[in-house]
Amino acid sequence: MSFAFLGLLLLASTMPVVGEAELENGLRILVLEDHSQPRVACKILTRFGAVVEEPGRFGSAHFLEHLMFKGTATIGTHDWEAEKPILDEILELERDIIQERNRARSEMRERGVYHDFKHAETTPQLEHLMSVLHEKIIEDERYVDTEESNSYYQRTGGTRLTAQTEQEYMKFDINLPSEKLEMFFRIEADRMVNSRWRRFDSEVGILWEQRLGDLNGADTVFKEAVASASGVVSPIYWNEGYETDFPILERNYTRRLYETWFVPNNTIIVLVGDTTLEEAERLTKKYFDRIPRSEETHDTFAVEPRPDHYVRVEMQTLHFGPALDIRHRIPGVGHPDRPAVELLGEILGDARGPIGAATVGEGLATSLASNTVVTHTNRFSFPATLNVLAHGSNLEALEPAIIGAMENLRTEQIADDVIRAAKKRRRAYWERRRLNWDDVAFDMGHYAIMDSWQTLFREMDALQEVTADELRATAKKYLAKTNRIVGVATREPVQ
Amino acid sequence: MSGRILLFAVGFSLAGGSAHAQRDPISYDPPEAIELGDSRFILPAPDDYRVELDEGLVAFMARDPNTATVELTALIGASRLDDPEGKAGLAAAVAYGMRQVEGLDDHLYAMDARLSVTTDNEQTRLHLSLLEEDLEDGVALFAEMLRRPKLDEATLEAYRRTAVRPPWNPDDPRKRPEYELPKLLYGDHPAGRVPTETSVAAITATDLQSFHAQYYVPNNVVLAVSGGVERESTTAALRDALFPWKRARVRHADVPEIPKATPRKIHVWEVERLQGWMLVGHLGRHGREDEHAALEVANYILGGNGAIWKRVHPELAPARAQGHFDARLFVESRGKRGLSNDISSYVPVGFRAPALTYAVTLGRPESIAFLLKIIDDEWRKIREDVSDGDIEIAKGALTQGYFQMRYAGAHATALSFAEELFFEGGHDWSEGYVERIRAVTKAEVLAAARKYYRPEDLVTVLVGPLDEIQSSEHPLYKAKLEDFGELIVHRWNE
Repeated sequence: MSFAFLGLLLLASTMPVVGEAELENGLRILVLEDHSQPRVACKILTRFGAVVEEPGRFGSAHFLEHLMFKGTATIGTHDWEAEKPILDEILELERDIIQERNRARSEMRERGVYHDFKHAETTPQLEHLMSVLHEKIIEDERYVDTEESNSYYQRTGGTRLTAQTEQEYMKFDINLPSEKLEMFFRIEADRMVNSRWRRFDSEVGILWEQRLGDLNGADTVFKEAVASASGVVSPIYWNEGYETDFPILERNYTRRLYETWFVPNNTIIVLVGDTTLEEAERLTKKYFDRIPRSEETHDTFAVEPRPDHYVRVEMQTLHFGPALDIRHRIPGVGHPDRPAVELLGEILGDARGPIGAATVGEGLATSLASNTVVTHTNRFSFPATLNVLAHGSNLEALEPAIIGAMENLRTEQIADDVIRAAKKRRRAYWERRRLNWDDVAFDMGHYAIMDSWQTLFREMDALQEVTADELRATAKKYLAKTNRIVGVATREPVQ
Repeated sequence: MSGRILLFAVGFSLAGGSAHAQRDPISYDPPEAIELGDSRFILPAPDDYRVELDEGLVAFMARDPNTATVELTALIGASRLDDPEGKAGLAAAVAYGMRQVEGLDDHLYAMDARLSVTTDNEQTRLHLSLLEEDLEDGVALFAEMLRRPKLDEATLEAYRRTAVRPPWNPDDPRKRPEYELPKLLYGDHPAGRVPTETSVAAITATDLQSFHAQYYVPNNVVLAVSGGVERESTTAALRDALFPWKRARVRHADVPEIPKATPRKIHVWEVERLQGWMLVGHLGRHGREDEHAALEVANYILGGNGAIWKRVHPELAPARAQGHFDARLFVESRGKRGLSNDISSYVPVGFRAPALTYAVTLGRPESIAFLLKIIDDEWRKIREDVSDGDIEIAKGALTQGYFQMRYAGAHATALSFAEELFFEGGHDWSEGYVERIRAVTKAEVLAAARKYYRPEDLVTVLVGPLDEIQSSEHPLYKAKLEDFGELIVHRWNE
């Protein structure tokens, strides 16, 4: 009895008062009031991301986010009635192009693997259709003002306008003066239901640019290779788009994604700052009530099989390494083991902790870092990984040093001062993060998508209560060799 | 350039599928029809945050009862411009000495504190972030670094080993343009000097101590303290830790005129990468000129929002694109043509020497010449044409957006007031900012743009795959780098 009471007190110490409401159409609202500044951090999150993609269409979810910045039927056009038939024709033309390519696939087929030999790339009919499509796109340009919706935010003092798409969510963000909050509801309701695809091909170029930017990071290919070797079935381990995916991005396919997933019963609005639940509800109803509930969605049926093998990835490259990326599959947010896993991750990346002492302390590693990938738990048995990245010139000595130290954690107790320091770092992380309302709003929304917003705060509290015994048990369970993926990057040419 | 669209789908296969019937739009009134309330923002009064410590030391202290963190910042009037002739790197060496105090790493680890120490052409900045529970230890450590840095031969030896290393990771050359452009534009002027093996070898431990004694004095420092702090107890703790500390007369080095750089050159450092990174700019603002409000509006329209925030990094703001979606550079290069993921422009203010006015961008090889063309075009157009609509959006964004965010929270407020006193010597800038921006006219915007954007002076630093850039042509724009100025190719180790 007394133990339960203590638990409640601890919970109350960090759990904030969050106003919650749900419209009849299923749209959820979370409001965390703070009236110390006359601004509101606003997020709208959709339960939709890269996990819905299929091979050959990687990057489509992220691309959809870009397209949703291209205006709507009410904003971003000089004359909607004149533009509408052109946009409809563009979709029809694309359909015809797809049909023609499918018809001619024997002449033009691409084998789906890298090869030097290319079949014919076009047909007379295809060239004709592409030419008409080109003309229609130029015709549409006469009506386009895609930056108009952004400018409404900017002229009203909106800052931090951005968007993001990951495996399980897409979000749009704005930070507004509180007296301008209604603009958020007007713009985002319209974006949810009325978005139209303009300047499609320019945006493909941007996706390409972003991918090239990733590939300029020397470690990108290595990390992607290790990630994709970390799971078998779950799309959570797939990468988010390759250059070969971008040229076949389609208007019609992305519209299907948009109209399936961007519905009120798949959406959460999070507000942090100078507003109230009553005001948020009133404005939500004013702009979102008219959008009907849609069919319930389900993103993937894939369930990762329980791992029973050890995986090793070796990469030779001139631009990265020598480095080790050692991963273990872990449960996602909301799983009872997650607080202990998070704390274990914090300890693994501590340059003065047990792994650090055996590596950095012994001069074997120049740097050591760890992170835990934050992902939902319900639909995947092992959807996330705990990653340890170490740089050092002597990998033959570094790898056994890390693995040996990890094995020790599975049998020996971690020192109290190491655990205390790790708990303090996690507390400090959150204290710094919550200074920024935008970050708090995102975390609440992200956790609400993954599990529940309360989990964010419960897991922080629970992490502070993790014992040395629990850590050892967690290490024993998750740092097993059969649950391990080792990535080895050496800086050398491929012979 | 207009009238043609690049179709990415040309020549590629489209996957299967059928046309999708779009759902019918749902009607909404135009956003203009929304009746939005008047601004609730009230500019905080600096005096409410100002704490007079002794000997001319001023702190701006802002309490946030909802946070358990504390931010301690010292703005120190000691900059690279104070480096004596032949001893480039001295100011940075003294700052380095702050990081060498006994047991620093152990303290930082125990507190999970975050430390940063930087030196530029206007200031040295010390920042320590810690948990409220460690405030006493943190203040003591902060004072130790500020008052008693380790300025001996050992520090100097360690500094010499690090000072002449290029400030970019060999695997990631993207930071090179921001290192090279100031050197090219300032030439031999102190504002562009970087430490060399010769200059750091000439610095002695006595130089370190003399420099510290001359510039690290209370009347040459402004503090910002925020977070979980109580005004009285924290003031007392700062006094105990920092004093006795005597004020002294500070004599900054004279800053000579900057000879104008030879314009219209493209400096290239070749590197095998998939994209090129560019900084394109010329010498910029020196001091808070009368046209500053009009220029901030002009720059918002052209390429970004850097004017307000970036004035604290005067000679070169962090050179990454932070433009907004509606800026002309952004619309022309990204929105319409898909050339670059990021592009923006900056007009920071230099208080002791001119800052740089510049644009920053990146792109695949075929985009590079096109991007140069767009920067060149827009640098000219902003001098000739702005619309009332452009100006209205910029005014709203600057006054209700970026200016308000300077006071969003305790740390931002304390730091904004500390910076304003440090750079401006008072608070007239913030008190009149909104009014000045609102009063700006179209004629003033154009006049400021004509004065401060000089396309004929643009110098480009490009880091990227030169052969690919020169051999690839964008389908909609064909040009060589030489079309924008004399091409100078540097060796990577140069």
